[in-house]
Amino acid sequence: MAGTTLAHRLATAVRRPLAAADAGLNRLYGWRGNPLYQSGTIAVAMLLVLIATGLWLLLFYRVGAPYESVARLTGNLWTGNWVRGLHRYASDAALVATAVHALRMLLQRRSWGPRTLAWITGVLLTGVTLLLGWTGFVMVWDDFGRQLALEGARVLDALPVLSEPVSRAFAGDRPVPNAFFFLNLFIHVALPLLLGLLLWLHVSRVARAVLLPPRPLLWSVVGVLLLVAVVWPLPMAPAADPFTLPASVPADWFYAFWLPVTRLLDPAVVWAVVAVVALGMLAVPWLTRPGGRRRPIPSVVDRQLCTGCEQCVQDCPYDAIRLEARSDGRPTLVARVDPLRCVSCGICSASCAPMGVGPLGRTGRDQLSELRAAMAAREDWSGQVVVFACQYGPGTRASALAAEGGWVRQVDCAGNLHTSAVEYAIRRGVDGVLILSCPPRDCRNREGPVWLEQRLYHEREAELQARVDRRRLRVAYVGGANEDEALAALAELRSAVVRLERPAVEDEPSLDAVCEPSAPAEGI
Amino acid sequence: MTPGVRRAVGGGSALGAALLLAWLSRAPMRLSSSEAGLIRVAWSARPERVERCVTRTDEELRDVPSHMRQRVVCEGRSARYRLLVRRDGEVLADEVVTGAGARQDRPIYVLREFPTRPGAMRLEVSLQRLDSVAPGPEREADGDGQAAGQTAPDRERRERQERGRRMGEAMPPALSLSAEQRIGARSVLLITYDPESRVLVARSADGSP
Repeated sequence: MAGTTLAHRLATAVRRPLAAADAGLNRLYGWRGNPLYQSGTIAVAMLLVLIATGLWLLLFYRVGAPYESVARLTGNLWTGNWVRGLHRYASDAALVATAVHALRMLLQRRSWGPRTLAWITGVLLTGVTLLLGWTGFVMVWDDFGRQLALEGARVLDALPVLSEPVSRAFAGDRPVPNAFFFLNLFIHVALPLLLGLLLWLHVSRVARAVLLPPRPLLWSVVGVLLLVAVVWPLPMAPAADPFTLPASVPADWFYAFWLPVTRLLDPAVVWAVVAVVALGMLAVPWLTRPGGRRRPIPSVVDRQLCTGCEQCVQDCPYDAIRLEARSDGRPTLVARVDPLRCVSCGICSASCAPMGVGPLGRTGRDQLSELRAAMAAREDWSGQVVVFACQYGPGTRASALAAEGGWVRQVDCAGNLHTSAVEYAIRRGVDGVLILSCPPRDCRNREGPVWLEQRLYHEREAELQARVDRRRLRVAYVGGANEDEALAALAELRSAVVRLERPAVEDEPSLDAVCEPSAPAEGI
Repeated sequence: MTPGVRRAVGGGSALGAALLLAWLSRAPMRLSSSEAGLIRVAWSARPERVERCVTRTDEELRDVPSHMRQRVVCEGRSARYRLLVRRDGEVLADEVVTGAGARQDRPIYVLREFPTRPGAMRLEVSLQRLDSVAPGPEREADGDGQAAGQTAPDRERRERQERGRRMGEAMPPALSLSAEQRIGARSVLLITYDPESRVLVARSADGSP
């Protein structure tokens, strides 16, 4: 219990500055350009930059003269220096982006259950990236590279697997053999293949995986790194010398943050720390798995209502729904949810016109019932704006929105919101409906805001009916900490609907039969 | 914030973040605040063998496949050595070194490092074999090379050459180096075994012994 409380406090402490950073970057770049929302895709983009620049650098690298070949390359202002700088900075940016991505997934509780494979492959990707960086710095064979090699060899020699200590190769009594640099180069070139395989596994459980950031952001990131590589060229550190003990070395702190600590530790302790950290990271899916009733349950399909239209199959962000043959003699197919892949995001709740699929208690029918009950408390809803807000994002600002006159209904995800609920509210006589969604790239259910917009404005099943007055509807993509933007969207809608004629009010709107089942469903 | 200001602040922030990244990519990492030098004792060499050799008779050779007809078969282990390192009379290391590997049949790999104050010092390094080694088989039982067609004379000659080469490669029973040395601040004095001259030598950054 104490551990849970501590973990909760820790998560809250980290979440606050991250939310503030999100809000700040949203103001500067807009949610489309917020690099924190695109951390995963930026990491992949940097990997592509690394491959492109690495292939070029490989043409000039010589295992027989590693330092001299890199120095010659660095001395070439036009075709070498900036390429090496970009290669280095892209590798650093990849690691930073990976760390941000992992932190976001952890704080958004997207690390357990069906996402276990993604988390574990993510940890392995990070480990391989660190190893890739290690071999890259050793390739240069400057003071820093030698320090990394020495420390790696020292730790490796603690394992009783090699008859000849690796450290001997760097003692200085003989030149470091070319075979070492060849092996190091081979590993450096081969590891990206492993990265590719792990990346494929990493995204294998999501539908329509997005691997690259939007082009403006992609080219902005590459451009800024390129600019820095040109205006602040990467220098060459002194060549590795086994006969000197440098007081300090110019180091890449992203990849060698551990060096000052491990140098002071016994290799056995280093191995123990590495094992604990690695096992701890790999155990995150089980450590963060909600227990008992707090664990979201997978979606289920009401086989009576399912028309086999395939919309939920298309919308599921995790490829968790399949169509299969019916056993009741009806000619259509029927949807079936794979509970091992379903993350209980609830996107399918809003994709089903007959409201026949979704997690228990969060189906379209449940939303409609809950809204109907809540609105029954009042006769006159004129002058009122209903705010449907994602409870993980702008919904956290419910009190501020309520203070400004919004009638706030928190939803699990804006992408879960069934269009029938929107229609119902408007036909009951509210002045307007404001849907506050997380920005599309920050949706913890991946595609909620995208499908929401298509359902409201682009006729995607289950679309908002044409009879609904769109002038009374607004969708705003707002980060959780961007309270001002949420309030501005509310104020804008309020001022817009004031100018409209009074809506026709229905005491108990009868929604289209397609959107509301006439009889309670069975067999859920 | 006007769009222009926001664009300027956004661009500046991005550039600032990239510059921070570039700085962290090259920021100095302090490895040691000490001016101490280092004595590094490092080499690898094949130790002598403590083994018992048996010269097989023609009858014994006849019982084994032709490709395994080795006249002299030796079994044993690598010799152990005592490594002693002294600086100005102070013992820095006094230990037994053996061949590497699970069966200790690999070369001896020595790698010891001793931080030391810079300046002049008397350094003594010695390596002394602890085990007694029997005379080589070619001295006690040299085949006559006329083994009734079981081992060709050429093969026995090659066997002898191979045994001789191994013995020649092995470290001498005793090695020692005793000399006044000077170690500069933050520099390394390497004590290593020179397999050509079969002696211990000292090397430093300027290559001088």
